[in-house]
Amino acid sequence: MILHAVDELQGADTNGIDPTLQVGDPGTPTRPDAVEPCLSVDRALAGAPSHEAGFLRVAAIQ
Amino acid sequence: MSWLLRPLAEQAAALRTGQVTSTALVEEALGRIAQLDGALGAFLRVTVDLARRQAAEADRRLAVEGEGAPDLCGIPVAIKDVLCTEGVETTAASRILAGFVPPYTATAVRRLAEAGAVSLGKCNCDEFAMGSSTENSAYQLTRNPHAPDRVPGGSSGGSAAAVAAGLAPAALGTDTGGSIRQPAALCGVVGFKPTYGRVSRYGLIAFASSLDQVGPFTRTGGDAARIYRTIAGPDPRDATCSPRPVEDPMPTLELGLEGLRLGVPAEYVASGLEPGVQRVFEAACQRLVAAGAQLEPVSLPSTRYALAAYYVIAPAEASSNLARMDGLRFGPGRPGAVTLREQLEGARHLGFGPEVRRRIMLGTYALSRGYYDAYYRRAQQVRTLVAQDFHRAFAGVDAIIAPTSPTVAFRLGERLSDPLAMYQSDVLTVPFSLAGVPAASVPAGLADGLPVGLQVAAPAFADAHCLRVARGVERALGVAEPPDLARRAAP
Repeated sequence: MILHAVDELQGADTNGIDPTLQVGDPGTPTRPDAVEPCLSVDRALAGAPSHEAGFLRVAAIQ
Repeated sequence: MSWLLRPLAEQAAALRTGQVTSTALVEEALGRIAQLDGALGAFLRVTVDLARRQAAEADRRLAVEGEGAPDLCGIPVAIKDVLCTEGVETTAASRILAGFVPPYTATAVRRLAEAGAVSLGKCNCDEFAMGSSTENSAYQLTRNPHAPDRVPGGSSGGSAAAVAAGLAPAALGTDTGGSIRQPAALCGVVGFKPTYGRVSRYGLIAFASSLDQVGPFTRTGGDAARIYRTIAGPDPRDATCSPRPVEDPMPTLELGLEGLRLGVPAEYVASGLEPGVQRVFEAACQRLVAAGAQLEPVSLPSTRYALAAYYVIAPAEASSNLARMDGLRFGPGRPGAVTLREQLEGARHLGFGPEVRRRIMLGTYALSRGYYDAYYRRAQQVRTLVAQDFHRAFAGVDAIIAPTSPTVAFRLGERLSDPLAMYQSDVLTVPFSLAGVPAASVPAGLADGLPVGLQVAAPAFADAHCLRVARGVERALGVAEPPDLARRAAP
């Protein structure tokens, strides 16, 4: 049903029209490549349902 | 009348003369929340202790800095629950993030806090901001303060309802396809979506990254300008946040509408509007002319494809963004799973509601090999056409005005089983989102007792100008009266 609705797009004349790849200012601003403190392992794991020895603990990969 | 229903400038002045303290404002807000929010459901959680601590700190700062304190110092605000708040649970109204306590704070929230604003708590919204009625929240309904059997709009419905009911004088929301403007319109308050890239998205739980933008809900245009200038500006933590300096909206805010050319898109007023909305919009237009504005028809022909393009692009980006919700790093996960696959599938199956699942599937389909060109690429080409429409239109007018929503607030449950009807709620807001331009919704009047919003849009990065026009519209039409419920409540 939704796909049928968005099929309306096929009616637009897009010949020779570039797709929008970026909105707003062109380019990407950069910041100084400086080393800053980041999230500690403990804080990064604080919300994980299960962790062990500084790693996320997951069920067996089968 | 409650302090919380007065303009921020009045509250700020009273805080400086000692007529009121931040602690008193916050206690008033907490009292009104206790009194009204059980029925309204605007807040998912109220951070009482944190608010009291921040208020006491703001009072100390006001005593020391006096007139030099930022104008939001001591002002209570509410925050949509898609914005991360360090140490305060943030769920995006989704079960998959139940119990998630972020280790950092979103830039927009941090800037409010640095200015001394006091956070009252986190507001309800549609799950991951996907929806137009706040009914997609996994936790609770939010009711429209003007009519409790109706939706507040969405996705930032809790933020809109909180401001409309005078539980907070201002709130932060986010807007991807209309999620600030539509609920502002339906709740009879001011909502402002800044230019894409004007406010940092750092700490905003992403829905559609090329569209999401943080902005304010307030009672007046002036208040929106005050919140906007505090949260806007470059942020090294968001590479899509523009490095351009922010133009302060305050010096030009009261310039009015005299001599301004306002474009009225023929496509937006020709059909599809409820008669009440049409009536209020036409009456508002006459008053704008009386206030010195010149109305001119403009054409935005590609906007007929905008909704379809949006409902390809936004779900495509959402399907990618939500891939990170694996239940392994935060959230309740899937206890008892034996294999990793069970764990991942279980967490997502238990965690995501039906609308989020629908959009993930739609987006994944639109990005899949064989369909990418027909859907995603074509939608992005249509997005270019929509942006070109606006570019052409803005060459001849100073701003564009339109109704914000084709209808007034609809009844709870009315559109829940029909996603396409729900998506239609965004038909007048989505084109501005695709073009990335700033747009505000200002109360325009009532249709059968329910608020109607008037949308004001300006060229990209002309946010100060957009706010000036919005304030001009507000002066011409009058600041909206709060709903009865807000006036009747004890201050």
